[in-house]
Amino acid sequence: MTTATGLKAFFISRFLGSVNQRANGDRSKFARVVIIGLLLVYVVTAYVSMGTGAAKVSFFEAISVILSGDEISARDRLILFDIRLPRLLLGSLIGAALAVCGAILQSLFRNPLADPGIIGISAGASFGAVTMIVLGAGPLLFVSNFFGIFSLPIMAFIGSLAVTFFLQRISTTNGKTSIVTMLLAGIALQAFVLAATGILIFMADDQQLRDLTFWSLGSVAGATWAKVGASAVIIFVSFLAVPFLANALNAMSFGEAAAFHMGYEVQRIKVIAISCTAAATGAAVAVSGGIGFVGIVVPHFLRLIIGPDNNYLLPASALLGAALLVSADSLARVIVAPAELPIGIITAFIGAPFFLWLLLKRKGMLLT
Amino acid sequence: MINVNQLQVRYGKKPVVDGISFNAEPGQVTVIIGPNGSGKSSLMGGLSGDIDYEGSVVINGKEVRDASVVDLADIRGVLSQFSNLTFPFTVHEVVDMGLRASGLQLLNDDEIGLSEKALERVGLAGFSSRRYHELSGGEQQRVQLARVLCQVWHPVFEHGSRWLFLDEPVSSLDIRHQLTIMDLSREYADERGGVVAIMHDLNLSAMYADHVVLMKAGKILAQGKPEEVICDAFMEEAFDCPLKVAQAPSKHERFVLPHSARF
Repeated sequence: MTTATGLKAFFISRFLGSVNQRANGDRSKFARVVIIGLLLVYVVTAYVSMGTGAAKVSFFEAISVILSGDEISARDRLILFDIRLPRLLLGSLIGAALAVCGAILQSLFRNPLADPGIIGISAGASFGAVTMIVLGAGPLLFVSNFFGIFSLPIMAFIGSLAVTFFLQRISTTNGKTSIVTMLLAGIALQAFVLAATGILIFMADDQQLRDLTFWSLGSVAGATWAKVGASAVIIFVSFLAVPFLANALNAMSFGEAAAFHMGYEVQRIKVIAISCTAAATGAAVAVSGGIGFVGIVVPHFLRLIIGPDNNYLLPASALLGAALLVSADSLARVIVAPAELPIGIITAFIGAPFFLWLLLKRKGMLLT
Repeated sequence: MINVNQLQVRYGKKPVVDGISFNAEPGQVTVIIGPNGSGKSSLMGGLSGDIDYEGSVVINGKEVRDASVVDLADIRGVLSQFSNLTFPFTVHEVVDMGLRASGLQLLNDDEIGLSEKALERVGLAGFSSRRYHELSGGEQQRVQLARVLCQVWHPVFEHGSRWLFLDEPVSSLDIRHQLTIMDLSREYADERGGVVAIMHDLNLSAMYADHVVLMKAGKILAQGKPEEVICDAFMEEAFDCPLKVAQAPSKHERFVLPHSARF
């Protein structure tokens, strides 16, 4: 046996193997340990992120200087606390939001491939953003004047909420929302919104096209404390409901009838879950553009490790999503330094092959 | 006590349950039999609160359509005919969902090991760590029953009896486990809980039922003790085929033998 296969066997038996066959089928204790582990991983990635960038500033030295009571230089202060820290926080917020939204929508739609993209929430957000980029200096000048630098995120947010509201209306009859109708209507609506976006792109000039491209690839480079504050408020408020959704989402894995039999108000849960994910995704896409694959890869990977119980899957997704996005952002800063890659390129480059690997490795474990 | 009075369930304009009335008593196994499409599952849908209905369904003094979702979950557990699971939960996690059903009040001491006890009662001791979707259809059906059983573990509570609603609980089970599950229903009733089960197996119905409701085309054709309902005339009329009801020589159990014109 080669060392590589030996190590692989060891890894699988010690790690995945023992996890999958825990004696009594109760993975909750293990899941708690994993969550603590992910917290540590997040702290490490955050620390690395604070010390990474085009400018050579050591976070560790800066902290020790501050702790010893001295002042750090204005340049270091600016880089650390007005550029890197908001960027770190924004990346964490968005990573957590996208991963948790993905996990929620997958349970709700009973489809392991669901993510905010699938029902057109993200498309609605891009439509709002593109509208602002292309028409912001023309017909929508009053919006730009009124909201200033916030016009683009606000329009993106409105776009995602509008699509979601419209979808809810279409797929609800007699107070009951049909998840299947919503999925299908989402596909149709998404095609329509993308076509409308296409018209705007057709109308755009060169500078606008460049802005569009950068925005659609996703980036947290423009992080400011104002953006952090605004998205944090929306994401935190949206996620207040999450702890109360976990058991209901578990029950929904058996279908709506079973969840109702177990005492959950299915209609209310659907409305809350979809509204919360729309608001959180809207806020995330609005400030960072289209960052793909976090919402699918993170919950998928965690389900293989700790199982699908949403009581643990949702917090674990938040932590791993944040850690993943923060690491991707650190990479984005160093790979082509002093320039920066859009972060969406990195998440897709990591996410897509990883997802394929998961599919091939654990074919039998995926229920599709 | 369940009182069903002039119950009507419609899909569109067509009534599939057409003005039926019967009572189900706690301490008894009430079995609903009838041909395919006679409205059994729609009746169960009305009892469980799944479907809108006209007329009245009163469980322990509460009208089902007015009862809160949480109260209903405390009074009755429902084993559906079909259930598929989207994500790879373990058997333990599935059964545990019954314990965590919304609004459920169990004593803390009870909860420890309850899912294991429930699995033992459905003949699945030692299955906790298995993955649900790797089990056979019959095993999955029993895991589901264990989950439902956990939800209404104590047959009696302060507001009266709890109820097990079972839609074809033995449909994909081998003969041994058919008995396991019917015995479990019997025990639940003996502890003053109520059981309402839709059955296709007439012999098991005759053996275990206290009260049989025979349905045809959305109406009740006959109801009463098994020996009153499971007889040649009613069976042939309900199922529209020649058959013969006989009694086992040793005991007085009835059994139903189909007659084919080909033999």
